[in-house]
Amino acid sequence: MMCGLARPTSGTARIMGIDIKKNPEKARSNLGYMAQKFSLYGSLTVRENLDFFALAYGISLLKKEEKVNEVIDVFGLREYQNAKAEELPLGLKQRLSMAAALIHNPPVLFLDEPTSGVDVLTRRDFWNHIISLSKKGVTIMVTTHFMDEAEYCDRISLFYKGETIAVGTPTELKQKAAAFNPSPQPSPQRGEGVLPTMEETFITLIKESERGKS
Amino acid sequence: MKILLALIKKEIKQILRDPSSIVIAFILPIISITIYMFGINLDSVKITMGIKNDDNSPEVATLVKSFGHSKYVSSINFDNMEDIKTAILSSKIKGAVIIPNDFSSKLSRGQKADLLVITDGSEVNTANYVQSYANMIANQWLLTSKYRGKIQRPIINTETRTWYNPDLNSHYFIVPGSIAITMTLIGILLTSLVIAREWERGTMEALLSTKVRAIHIVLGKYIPYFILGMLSTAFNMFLCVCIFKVPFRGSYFMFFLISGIFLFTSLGIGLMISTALKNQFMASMVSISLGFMPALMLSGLMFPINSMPVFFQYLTMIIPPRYYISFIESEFMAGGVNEIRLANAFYLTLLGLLLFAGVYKKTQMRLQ
Repeated sequence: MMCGLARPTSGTARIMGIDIKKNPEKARSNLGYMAQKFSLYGSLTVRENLDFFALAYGISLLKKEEKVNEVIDVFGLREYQNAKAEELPLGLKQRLSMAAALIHNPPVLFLDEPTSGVDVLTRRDFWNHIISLSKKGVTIMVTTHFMDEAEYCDRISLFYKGETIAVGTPTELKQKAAAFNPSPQPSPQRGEGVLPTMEETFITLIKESERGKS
Repeated sequence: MKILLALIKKEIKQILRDPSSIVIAFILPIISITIYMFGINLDSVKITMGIKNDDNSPEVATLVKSFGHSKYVSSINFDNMEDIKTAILSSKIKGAVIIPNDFSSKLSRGQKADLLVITDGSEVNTANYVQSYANMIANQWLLTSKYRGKIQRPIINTETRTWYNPDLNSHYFIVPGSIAITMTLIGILLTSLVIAREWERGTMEALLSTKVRAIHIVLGKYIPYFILGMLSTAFNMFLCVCIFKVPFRGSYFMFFLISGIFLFTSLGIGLMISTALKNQFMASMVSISLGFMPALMLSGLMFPINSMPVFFQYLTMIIPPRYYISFIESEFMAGGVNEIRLANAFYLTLLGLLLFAGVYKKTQMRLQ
């Protein structure tokens, strides 16, 4: 919906203050989107894909070259720039997708399960990119089902059965869970007063929301 | 504009790197025109007939001989009916002529003499040939035989002049017609997959988050495939005129102009299928059955439209190849006839624009 893939049924949503219903294109131009599935053109090379998306995101012909070179360097794609996208290993594909989504310097980046099916090393690498971007002031929205990844984020919204059941920083959520369930699983490594892990938090909060409903 | 150019450039690169569309555009015409040229023949062919002569007059023997001398017929002599039956059954002969024993005696008395012609009704076309060849040969023989004085002269003498195609060579209309079939197939096949492919591979989602709009997507598909289709048309024409020596009497300018309009409608059908189905496999199945079959059966190339049931006659009106074939046959054989050009171009443009609007609306709907 936020990327313009689905139409809102009711309510309002704004990206950088622009209503997505009233002005979807302008709202979208503030956003970079990286789909879960690799969704660039397999038969085009890395550089050609970036060239294409640069223009598709409305970058002028003059600035295109400069922008493409910039993201190629930032994402370390220089040595692969003439390889066909479909021939890249998964990790590089992910990097390329992210490069394409960021080519127009969007203030908001939307990542849909960016790390599912990616090996541990690439994942680490990927998160380093995400964190450095957020330090530059880019707002990044990540959907994930890895709880350890969620911990990297500043704000987490827990979804269960299509509804938000809790919002807050990782620590806030953990404290909330701890309040429901003071000593989750006592273990030798963990003393009294230590917060539960993110995964435990998640489970506790879901259980609480179930109980709240019945 | 910049975005459109980027899309076109991308599409052209994809076409060049994916051999399947090149195969469709250039190999398909070769196969198709070759089949239509050599495989399909609606003309008279040499037919083998059996002859059983029960009349032993020497004059009738010359009739038997003239069957053997005809350039349309080769004959095999038989002595008994059983052999003829087996020969017809095994398709060794396509029919037989039986001369009864009173044939010459009736003729010399100036009476009507009978000749039995047996034809094989399981092949109706061939059966017609057998019948008319037997008639023709017998009548010609009669004019040179000693019985010629017995014939009454007919009062009416018919002279036949065949216009536009004096040799009645059916290749001269089938091969140009095959251009229409090939181009329908090319237009529909090339494009039916491309929008579905973007949905299947997820690239459409990626496009949607960019500044690309429905009109860019639609034009970004029409334009590259139009260029490819026109190249393929030129190639078709080259095969037809230069390689297979089919006479072309019309104007090349008009041919390419109206072919362009026709291509525009075919691409529209393909894109419509592709946009509606979002799935490459389904799209290809539908495009073959929806595009190819009506083009072959209902376009008037194989079966004349005015001999179809009324319902189908109306149905042909929404089939673009119908107009194109009508145009192409007249352009090839009769040379340019402006009324035909204008009428067909008008309907093709109308259908093409309707399809374009449909594709645009559908793409726009899909995007939201």
